[in-house]
Amino acid sequence: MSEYLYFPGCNIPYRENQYELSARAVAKKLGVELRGANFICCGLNIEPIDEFASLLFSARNIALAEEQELPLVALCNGCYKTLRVADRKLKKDERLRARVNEKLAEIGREYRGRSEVYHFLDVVSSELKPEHIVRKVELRVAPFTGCHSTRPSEYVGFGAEEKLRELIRLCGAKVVRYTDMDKCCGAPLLALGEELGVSIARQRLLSMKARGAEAAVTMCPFCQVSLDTLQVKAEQEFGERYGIASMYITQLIGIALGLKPEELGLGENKTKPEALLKGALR
Amino acid sequence: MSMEKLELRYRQVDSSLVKKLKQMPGGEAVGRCYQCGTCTASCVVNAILDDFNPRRVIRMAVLGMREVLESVEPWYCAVCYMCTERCPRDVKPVSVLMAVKNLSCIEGRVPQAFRNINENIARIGRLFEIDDFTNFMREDMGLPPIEPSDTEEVAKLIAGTEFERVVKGEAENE
Repeated sequence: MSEYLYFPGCNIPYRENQYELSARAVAKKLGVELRGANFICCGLNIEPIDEFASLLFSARNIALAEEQELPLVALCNGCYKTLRVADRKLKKDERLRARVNEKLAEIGREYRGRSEVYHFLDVVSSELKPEHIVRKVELRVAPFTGCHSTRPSEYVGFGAEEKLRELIRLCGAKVVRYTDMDKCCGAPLLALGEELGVSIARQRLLSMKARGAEAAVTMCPFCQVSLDTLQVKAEQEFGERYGIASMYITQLIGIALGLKPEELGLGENKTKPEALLKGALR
Repeated sequence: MSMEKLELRYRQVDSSLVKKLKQMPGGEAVGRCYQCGTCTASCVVNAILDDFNPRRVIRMAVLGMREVLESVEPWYCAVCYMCTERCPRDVKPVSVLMAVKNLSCIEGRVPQAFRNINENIARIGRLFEIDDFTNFMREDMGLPPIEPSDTEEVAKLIAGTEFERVVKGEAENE
């Protein structure tokens, strides 16, 4: 039985609850315990304004995990990267840690560098065994790791590309490789203008379609918003049809573990992967 | 560009800009750039928007052109780190642009979209407000409720930081 402190972030509880639902369902099946705490923003959005304040937010959240003597696990690539980079910087740089702790002392907390930051995919990848799989999902799937699970490689990374492909194959699906599969989904640009995000999402979808993918799996709420929510918008705007059913890796795994679509929140996905999944079960 | 205009621009050059950037976290390696353009060639934003060009932003900063601090251009970076991975001089373009943005903020320039986002974070500790309805929907799905953030703790945490000055509008450009 492994135990983690679950970091929900801002996006998932606001508009991508199916990711948390499916992750919790998969965790339960694998005997992984996810505990809660009163977290604040990871610090990602603060970084362009004030890097030091961003570190304060990250360190405050990591301090909560230290208080409970648990490792921290995030579902969102952005949260994972932000917390991980902060943790690595603070573990390495004593002077920076002292500056941060001076501020944390004002809220009665301390960063001691005794926790560790993980991405949920990493946890699933080490816990999921072939004997857990009760049915095969025969689909051609485009893996989408996103950026912050692998970059900046100076600080982050756990072999996400390989692990995601391995998990897709474990579920019985076929991995489809496509052009620019390691590039950005476009969602970070949504704050500045929807058309920019939609244009970038469209490029990824076109290259998936060109290789005959039927579905895409994501591991980040930003990537999912791009390939799922923005796919619908791109189809309207560009008058094209991509036909890529987009889902979280935890939803695909859940199906292979024998869970029901409603236990995985599949009805929430805008590109409606449910029917496709049903037809692909073996 | 006419010769006169060019001369005028060179008279506006701020030789302390590079020095300031090198002192910011992330800006340390800006001087190493030899303008190969690998960053721009790797950039997903540049692929759809000519007006965003990280190589140019770095060049302008190195030349001491204060326009980079007044421009919205650095804010279009998607922070995907592809350029940082590929840069042969380890300039870390994402971090240099982050330092440029931090410096812009110190001087009081923040694009409205980013100001709005961060006002939320300062006020409620997170990007989006989780209201009763959201928690009701979560409960309906079988998910535990999201507790409201400790706003007092957030206020204490940001007190005295540049971030607080920016979101309170105290860093307003004069």
